Amino acid sequence: MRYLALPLLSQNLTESTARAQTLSLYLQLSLQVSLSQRNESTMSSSSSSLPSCPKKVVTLKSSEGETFEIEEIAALQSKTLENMIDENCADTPIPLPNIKGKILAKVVEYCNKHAEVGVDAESLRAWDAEFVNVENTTVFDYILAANFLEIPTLLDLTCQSVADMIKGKTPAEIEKTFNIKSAFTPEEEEQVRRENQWAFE
Amino acid sequence: MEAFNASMPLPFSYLFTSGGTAASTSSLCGGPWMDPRIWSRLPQSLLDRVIAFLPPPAFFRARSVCKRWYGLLFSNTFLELCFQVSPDRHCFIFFKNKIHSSCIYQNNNSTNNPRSSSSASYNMEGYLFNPYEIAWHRLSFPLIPSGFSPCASSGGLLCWVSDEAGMKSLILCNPLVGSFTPLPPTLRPRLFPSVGLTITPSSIDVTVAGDDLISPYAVKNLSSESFHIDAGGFFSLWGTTSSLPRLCSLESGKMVSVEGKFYCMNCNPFSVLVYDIGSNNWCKIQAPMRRFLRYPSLVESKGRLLLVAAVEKSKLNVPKSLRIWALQDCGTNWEEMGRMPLELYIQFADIEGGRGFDCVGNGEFVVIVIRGCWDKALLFDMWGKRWQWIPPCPFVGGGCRSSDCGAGGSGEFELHGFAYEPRLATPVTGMLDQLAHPLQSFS
Repeated sequence: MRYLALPLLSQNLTESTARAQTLSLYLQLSLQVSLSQRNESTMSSSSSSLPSCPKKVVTLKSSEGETFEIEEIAALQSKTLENMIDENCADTPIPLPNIKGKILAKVVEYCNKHAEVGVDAESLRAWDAEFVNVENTTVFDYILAANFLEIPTLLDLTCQSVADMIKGKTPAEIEKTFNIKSAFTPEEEEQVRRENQWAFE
Repeated sequence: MEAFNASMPLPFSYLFTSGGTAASTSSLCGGPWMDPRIWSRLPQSLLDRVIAFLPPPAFFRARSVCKRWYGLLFSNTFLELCFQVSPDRHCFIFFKNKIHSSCIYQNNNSTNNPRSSSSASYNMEGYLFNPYEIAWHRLSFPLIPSGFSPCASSGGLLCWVSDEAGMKSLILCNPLVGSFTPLPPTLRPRLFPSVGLTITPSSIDVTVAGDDLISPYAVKNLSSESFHIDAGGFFSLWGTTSSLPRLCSLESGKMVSVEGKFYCMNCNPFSVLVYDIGSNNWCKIQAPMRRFLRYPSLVESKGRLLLVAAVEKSKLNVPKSLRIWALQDCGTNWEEMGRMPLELYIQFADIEGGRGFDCVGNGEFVVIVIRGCWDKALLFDMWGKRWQWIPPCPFVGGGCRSSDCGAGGSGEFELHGFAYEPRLATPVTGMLDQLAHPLQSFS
């Protein structure tokens, strides 16, 4: 509330005039107060309109320029998107130049599914298993997308599925898959294997 | 209960194939083919995350891939990552346990191990059982000295207790990493007490109960001592003592930890002893059908206490069975949760022949080991409601000694199991190191 400069009441004024001036001052003050109150209420109602409207939708743009819509609640599973929404950049489409349209569509599907209420854990687990039951090149893209968008559940799901793919492989096969140079001498490798012999039995 | 699944699953032990490339994509051991042109582009940090999701045997095999992967076990950032993301694995670890009566005669631990006569080459073995893949692995414990036996397990750690009568020494050990963390010795002399262990990310609780040596030759179940240490700075070095209920006999030696309490089977007549860690208080609760139980065992599953036992009501016309009860939230009443399918029980009773059996449970799994029978054991998946016979531990002498009935003779052993969660990182033992070296300000 702004402080009003109080008009100097001249001592020459008659009592009625003084009363009238006080009254008008009072009216002015109360008008100020009610105006500011109305401002506050409009401000609060506009800020409450954001969470009270769950259908608010965010637009994402893939590397090829294709756009995808996702409900804000679903998008909040991604810490990256959450930050962008907080900074109120969400009115314009959010560009994701390193995620292809095909992958982005699936990621949106994942987030939507996991934002649903009332899904029991068992069926969600089964849905997740189907989600990663794809070509491993796609799983690779999922991992990078989940990492960039910081979606912990999707990242863990995809990393677990890659771990399942490699857990049966021999060390030689793993080296080949990830193009890793061993740098162990044959003696060192033998020693390491003996150290961890129990895992090979 | 669902119909009994009679098929024997493949013993899925991980065989090491040297050299040969797995050209066929259908080979279960090799996993699906992965294109190196794609996967070599996976960033290091994400590859580390994938490694953190590997089950322990696969992780330890992967250490031979390169020096960097070898060193991950010693990297704090990697261990922290494991701590956060590694899923819970409900596994078991078994030991060949000498029968107590033979301990007094200083019998050898294992009849199969000719080296055990010399204490210098003594090497305790444990058998890790993974119920998800029906796989057995043999773990060794080179740092554990002779004269110690495993007694409890929690949070990825195994607790060992000294065999000798007197004040008991305890050691905490992470079987995968081979770490060795001793506890200060207990304050009262005991013979073969029962030990309970509860580990959380920020606390250690150990309780040693019973078998008080009131004189060098007299044993009585009188008291318990508890050890506590937590990250908040509170600790009790065995000073927390409590009296056991009158006339109890804790023969099993095992205490099961459920939601801040230790539970122990009490015999003659069967009841369950309960120790509340927070209030340092013992009480006794009745067992269900206590006069008709045979070989009851206590098991923890999903935050609840279960009792598994065979039931025989010879006087009434009630079919023999193996049943599972769950302790209700009130803490005194039991509700029957299920029983072994009758056809399976008939097979089971045929093999068991009155010799007895032991049960151990973890998460959704219960493993039932029949005494004297080493060629198979029973696995029950509570969530999938499946019972199945599982192949024996390949590292333990096989064959069903049907001729040995009744009491195990000298040199006989029992397979003694614990619920075990394999964890690469068990940082909570760091608190015990602080105890050992309180004046060291730089660790």
